[in-house]
Amino acid sequence: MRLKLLKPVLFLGAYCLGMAQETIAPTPGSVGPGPGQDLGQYNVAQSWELGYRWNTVGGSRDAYRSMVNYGNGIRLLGSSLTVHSLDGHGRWFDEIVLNTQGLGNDPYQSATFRVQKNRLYDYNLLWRLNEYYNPNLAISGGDHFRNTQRRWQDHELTLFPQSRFRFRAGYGRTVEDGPAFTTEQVAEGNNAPPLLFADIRRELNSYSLGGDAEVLGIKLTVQRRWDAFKEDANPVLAASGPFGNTNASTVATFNGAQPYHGTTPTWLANVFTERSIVRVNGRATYSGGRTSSILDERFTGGLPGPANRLNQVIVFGNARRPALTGDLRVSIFPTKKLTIMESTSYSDIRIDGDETFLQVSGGNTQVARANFQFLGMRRFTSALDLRYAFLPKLSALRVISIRSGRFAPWRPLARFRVPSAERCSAIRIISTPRSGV
Amino acid sequence: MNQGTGLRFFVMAEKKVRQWGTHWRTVARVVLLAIGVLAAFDVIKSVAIAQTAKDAGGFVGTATCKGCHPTISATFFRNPHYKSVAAGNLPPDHTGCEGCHGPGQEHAESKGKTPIARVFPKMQANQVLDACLNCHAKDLSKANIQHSQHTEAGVVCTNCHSVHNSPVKKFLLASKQPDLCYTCHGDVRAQFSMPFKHRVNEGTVLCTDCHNAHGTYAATWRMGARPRMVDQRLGNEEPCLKCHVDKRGPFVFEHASVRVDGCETCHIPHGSANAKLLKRPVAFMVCLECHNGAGNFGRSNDSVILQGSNHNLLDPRYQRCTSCHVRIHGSNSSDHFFR
Repeated sequence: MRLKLLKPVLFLGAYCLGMAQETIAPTPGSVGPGPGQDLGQYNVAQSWELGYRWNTVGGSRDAYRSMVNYGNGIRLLGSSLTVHSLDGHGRWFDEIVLNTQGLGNDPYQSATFRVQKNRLYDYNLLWRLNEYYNPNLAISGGDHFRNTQRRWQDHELTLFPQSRFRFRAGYGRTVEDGPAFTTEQVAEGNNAPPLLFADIRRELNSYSLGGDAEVLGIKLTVQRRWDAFKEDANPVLAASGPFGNTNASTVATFNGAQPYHGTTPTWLANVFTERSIVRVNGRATYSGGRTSSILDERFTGGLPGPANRLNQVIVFGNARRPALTGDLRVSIFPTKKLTIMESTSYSDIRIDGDETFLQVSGGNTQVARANFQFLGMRRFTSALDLRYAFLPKLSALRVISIRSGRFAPWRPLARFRVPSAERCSAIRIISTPRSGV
Repeated sequence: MNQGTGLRFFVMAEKKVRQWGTHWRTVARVVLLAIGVLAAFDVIKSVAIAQTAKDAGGFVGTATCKGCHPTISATFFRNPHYKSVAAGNLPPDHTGCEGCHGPGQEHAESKGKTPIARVFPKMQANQVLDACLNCHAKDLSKANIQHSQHTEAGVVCTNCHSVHNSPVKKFLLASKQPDLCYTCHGDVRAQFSMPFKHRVNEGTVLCTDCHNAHGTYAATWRMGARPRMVDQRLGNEEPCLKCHVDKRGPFVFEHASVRVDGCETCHIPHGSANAKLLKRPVAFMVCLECHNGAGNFGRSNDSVILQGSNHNLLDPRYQRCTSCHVRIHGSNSSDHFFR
């Protein structure tokens, strides 16, 4: 009996608590005049926190570095600077905000900077640094060691941010560099893969231009982007690994170069409009990724036969990955409580290119060339949702959700088999249409 | 071509160029005229809106609010919404306090006894959303806010943003990331406490690097299953590729699951016991989830031989799959991802 009463009481209690929740976020901030000083037509507020870190690590220092990585030393733990114009009509700017974290010696550093003038421009900068240490103890006895540093910077400039016609420009740069140990299966046999050392250098530069326009209640956004990526790694044979493990491979010498460059020009367009009971939102993107790569490896040993026999593998080619996507979402609100929503999406991604493989093994030359169209995915989905909000404080409940779609996921049209060192003299192209994953 | 023909050609070409010049001038005039008409339309419309709002009455202006709310007004010049006051030409329903809180005449005349039109803590979620989107709907990043999982769950603007008391001046967040997100997503807090994780708690990586709390478009991976508000790079790629660009390709030999199912097929991006953020503690346990010896599985009809003479998975050496299959995300020279 008691249990029977308890359930409705608990339910009512939970319901009342839920209803009592206000749709507003609790904040640690306080209302009132903040710190700062008026200088001319500006108010300046700042704080700087300087500190020193000591650490004493017991146990595995590698584990500490891979999980925490804070070191000894002096640093600017945090800082904040804000400059605001008092009347919103500063001469060159109306707001400057600068925040930093860990500058100086921390493995995790960041800085955000913003300067804007009302109605004219808005510039944002985000700069970050992350030191990454990975002994990778779980794989290959620690052979896949990495000690790299990654630095990001993202710049965004908006002209006329409060206007109906806005222009945007952006630049982003990501750089990763540092020493790393890796392995590579040179011989395709039972031999242990040789341990290789490589100085990682990866670089991405992104540029963007675009704008927004609002005309007759229709909002249009168009953006053009260019991404340029390059990686230049020259792995060499390492006698021993980072944790004293010796190179167990039968490969005697190894020299390699593997430059890899790519660009991805992109278009993005979005249209949005809202009327009294209808909302329409559509977008289309197209990115035409393409890469050029060369691999040049020379090694002795590692294969059945004389240990001093020279083997060389040269592979070069281009690959393309055009991707086209589109979405259209139409929402209708016949009543305040009822929402009918139709979402349609389309995406088409395919990969093609050409490749030449050249292998010289003990005087025998094998050449293979292939045009490949390896991966193609085309997806079309449509979803219809009917939602009804029974109670005002409860979010809308999905009454009906109908989803349909057509998915052509994975279609290897041609397969290019790399000739093995000893037995293959011609390339093998296998056409194997496939569907479903 | 003789001299006469050549001369005629150049004369014709010059005439064409002149004609085109005339055309372009005409086109430029039409474009300028259209822009002028649109601008005039905008001006007339804004004046009409301002006049309508003024005629409608009920708006008293920010200066009146200052009389009873001096503490908020004193620092309001630091608030990004002060732009609406500084602009000086916006209609009253888009300016200052009344831009968000609605007309305040009745509230002021009753000396606060009558509540202001919009008291956000008392408003329903959809009302809060509508009030903010009155101005903020124009950003591309909010194009999907009406259909985001946050909105569907009744989490709207004022749940995360604090207009008057924000300790984070950029975006007026109620508290810093990731603490703000952890307020609801306690399970994610636990994931970022795993031994290996993205440096979110340390402040280098932000939740918004990968997620758009305002909602996103349908994903182009995992059969278009709706992502957990995962922000897509370039509009059609996984956000992981914002930083891990070397995994993007296109590669001559793609690891197809990366393209079809996405990075999270093998990785847990928030945190893991594995140094490479794999879903399982060791690599081969992840690989065998697909390459499980089922025969007709995998790209080349030759799934992993579990106990072969040269690939015996009982031997710990072969359990470290990525020691040999180094370029597992994609390779330009080896269909088995060896180099």
